[in-house]
Amino acid sequence: MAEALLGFAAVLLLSFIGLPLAFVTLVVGLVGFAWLRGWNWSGALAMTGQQVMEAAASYGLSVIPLFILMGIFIHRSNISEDLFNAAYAAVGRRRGGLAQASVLACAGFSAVSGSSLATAATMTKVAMPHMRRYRYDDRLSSGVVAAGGTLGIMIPPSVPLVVYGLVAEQDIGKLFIAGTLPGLLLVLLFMGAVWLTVWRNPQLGPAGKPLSAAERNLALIRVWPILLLFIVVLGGIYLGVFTPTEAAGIGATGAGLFALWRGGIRTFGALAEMLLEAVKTTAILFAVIFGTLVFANFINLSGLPYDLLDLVEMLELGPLGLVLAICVICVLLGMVFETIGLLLLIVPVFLPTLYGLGVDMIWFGIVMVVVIELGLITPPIGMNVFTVKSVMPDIALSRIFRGVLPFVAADLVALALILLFPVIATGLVAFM
Amino acid sequence: MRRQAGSYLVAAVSKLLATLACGALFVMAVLTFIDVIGRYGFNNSIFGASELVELLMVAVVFAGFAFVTATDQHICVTFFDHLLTERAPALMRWSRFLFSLVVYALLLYILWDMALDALANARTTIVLALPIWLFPGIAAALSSLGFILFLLSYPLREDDPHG
Amino acid sequence: ARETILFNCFFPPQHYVCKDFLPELGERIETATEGRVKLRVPPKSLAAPPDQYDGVVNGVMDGAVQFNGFLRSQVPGVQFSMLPFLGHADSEMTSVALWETYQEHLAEKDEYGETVLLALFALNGGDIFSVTDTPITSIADLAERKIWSVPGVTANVIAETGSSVVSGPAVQMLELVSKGVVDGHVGVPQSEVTQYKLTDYTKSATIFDEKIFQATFSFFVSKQKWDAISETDRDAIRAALGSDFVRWMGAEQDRIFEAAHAEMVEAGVEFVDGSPAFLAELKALGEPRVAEWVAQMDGMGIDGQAVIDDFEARYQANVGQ
Ligand code: NA
Ligand code: NA
Repeated sequence: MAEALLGFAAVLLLSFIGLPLAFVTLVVGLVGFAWLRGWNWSGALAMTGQQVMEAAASYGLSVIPLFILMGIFIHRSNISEDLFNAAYAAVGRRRGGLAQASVLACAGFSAVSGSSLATAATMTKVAMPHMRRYRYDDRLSSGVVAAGGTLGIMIPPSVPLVVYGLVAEQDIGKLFIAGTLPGLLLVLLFMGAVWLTVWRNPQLGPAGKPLSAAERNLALIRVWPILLLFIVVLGGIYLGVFTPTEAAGIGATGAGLFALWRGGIRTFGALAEMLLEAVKTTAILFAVIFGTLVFANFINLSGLPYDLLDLVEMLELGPLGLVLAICVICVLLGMVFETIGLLLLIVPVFLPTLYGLGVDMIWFGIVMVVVIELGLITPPIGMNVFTVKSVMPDIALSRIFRGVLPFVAADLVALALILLFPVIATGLVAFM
Repeated sequence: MRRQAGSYLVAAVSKLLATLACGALFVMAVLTFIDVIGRYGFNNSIFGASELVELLMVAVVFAGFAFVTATDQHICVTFFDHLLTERAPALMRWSRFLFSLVVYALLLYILWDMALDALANARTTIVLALPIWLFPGIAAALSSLGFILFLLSYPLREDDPHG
Repeated sequence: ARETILFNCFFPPQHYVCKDFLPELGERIETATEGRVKLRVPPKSLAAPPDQYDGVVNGVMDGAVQFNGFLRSQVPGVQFSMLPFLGHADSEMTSVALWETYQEHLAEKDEYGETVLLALFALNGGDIFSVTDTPITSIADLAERKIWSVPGVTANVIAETGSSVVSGPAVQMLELVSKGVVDGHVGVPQSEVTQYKLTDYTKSATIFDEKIFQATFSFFVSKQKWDAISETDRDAIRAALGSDFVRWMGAEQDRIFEAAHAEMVEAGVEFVDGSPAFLAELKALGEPRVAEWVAQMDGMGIDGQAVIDDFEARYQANVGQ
């Protein structure tokens, strides 16, 4: 226990002074492992190499670059604008309608992108100008895209769910299906949060101009490929027509063909640029995965997971108490680690305890994603808020953080509902 | 003059790594696509497709990582980080560089060691009988290029790494 | 001297090998050495399934259990236990016969290199399962299907029937079979079918007495750790384990198998006796693989055929008792 805590302290200290987290966790994990093995460096080095190669040469993890590529292709097929228009056609003329439309458009983009940052970045670019035109308050508009972006990791495909599946040894297809209803629940709650905000102060988000029937139909027609791709990918997984990796391959290739057709890929160079973007995102993600896997193995060897099991049994926390405690720990660690690192650290540490108490691991994965979503929009490291800020540099960070408050509340409601009614997450999985 | 030659080399190696990584990702997407179409359309799947995907993943991840280390910038994630960088930018920049350099070198040592080890015992993958050393070997070779790139390019960067 | 063996378990933490077999191994070692040598199993596997041997050699952990299919290049001798149609239905008698045969013919070759073999273990032999309503009763049935097969020699044999074979780790099988990607699966025992919750998807099983495949496993510790243990304690451990621990694991496994079989019968899985003609044809396809192994043993100065014959004789003798 002491060794593990010392390891955590070392990671916190080194990353606080600004050393790259991926490298910090790798080094602390390696040194800690050697220490626990009686300064057996050969063992620690071999363990590091095995973990790194195992993650890199992983068939299961190949869904990560493929789903990232799919999102990039979709983004480049200029469909994000169509998505917003279609959402606007549906809800735009109501009070706060553009913010409502932003939530829906984020949901649509989430259905083909596995990343919350990509969703937030894309939708900020698309939705913010519209909301500015209608003189929306910056707090509401930036808050809604920052929060809407978090849908990217709940509505499948989802990169964090893939990583969770890896460490918790859970079926990625089941996790994706499990994320669908909670994703829709979040959409409803976010729209509710917008409604409440403008109900209290209508000036924050005036209604948009209604569209003509023709405009409306055109907008709706132009988003069918997103819907089709989502249905093929998720339906294929649900019905067992193909594996998640194959679904990702089909999604990426389908999105690529679609981008080609829409004129998003006009030159070979444009294609290369998109591939490179996917490669870069993948590489950064894997650097974090490598480091955390090595660190997690050190924690594993330290026996902390068993100590925690004993502790939880002694305290008689029970499954719900345990999961709540983990949520609190996640929020605390979320001040230092970003999403993927957090998942890779927390899950292995609590795995024996979760199994011991018979916690449904699919449900737990969904709970973790909601907690991560909260972390993405709360200080000090609200990566989604940072993303919106980087696209819209003229809005103060504190204003965005204040703007997401109603959505933080919505996230908390979703968390409570999913904790109390696990069937929201597990209901659809039972029919697979 | 020296700096120019350095930049030229960095650009050439970066381009090579980017091409490799992008090519591998493209092949991976098309391969899985064709595999599924083949299975349902022609009752014939690509033998050992999953092992090919694993090999391609190694290329994507390590070529990509090598490329990123030379071009991408460190993301500031903590308040302390911010404070320290404002007070002592050069110190932070160089300590970050040296730390990353040491870890990178360590990673290289580990990968080469694995590759040579695998080469010595001549094992192969189960389905396609690909030599096992290919996996750490490719990772080691690509990371070596990345290491050189990192060594050459980091001091070349004049801008603040926080951008 | 007091020593703690860090013994890795690559199975999921709740698997019986981690939960029952290794604690039993630890207890036997601890009792035999009067508490001087202990076994410690980490909460979660420290290395991927194929990396167990390398992990032990390099010192990631001190001991491990590994599927022998991953030891093809390091430990060729033990591979006879997994050759086509050398397998048997039961685990106990096979495990004991395997251990004894290995000790008799191969142990002195020091195949395990930087590690010391503590025990060998065989799962129950695997069968041929159909996921469709029609049982698989001939080569032609196999040829027209998509089949998931355990990797290695078995996959080659099935591929030679003309079947479209998907092969890989058993985790992948769960995904492929449960989702109807394949029409059948070959080589895993009934206990694994239930373990992976595939009972509901599996409609029938074609049973032979001689099994197409039987997975076997090695338990070993690093020489370094072994040498750190005093000679008295090493002897005590050897004496306490021997074929007795192997037999204990096999008996446990057979109980698990019986329960699994009952579960499959209950679920309405149809059990079909394979015809001698079907068996003969499959055996003919597997024959070159057996010959290959015998030739490989020739190169090592071992009479491979004698090993195979002795294995079968010992098995029959065990059953006879
Ligand atoms: Na998504
Ligand atoms: Na946060």
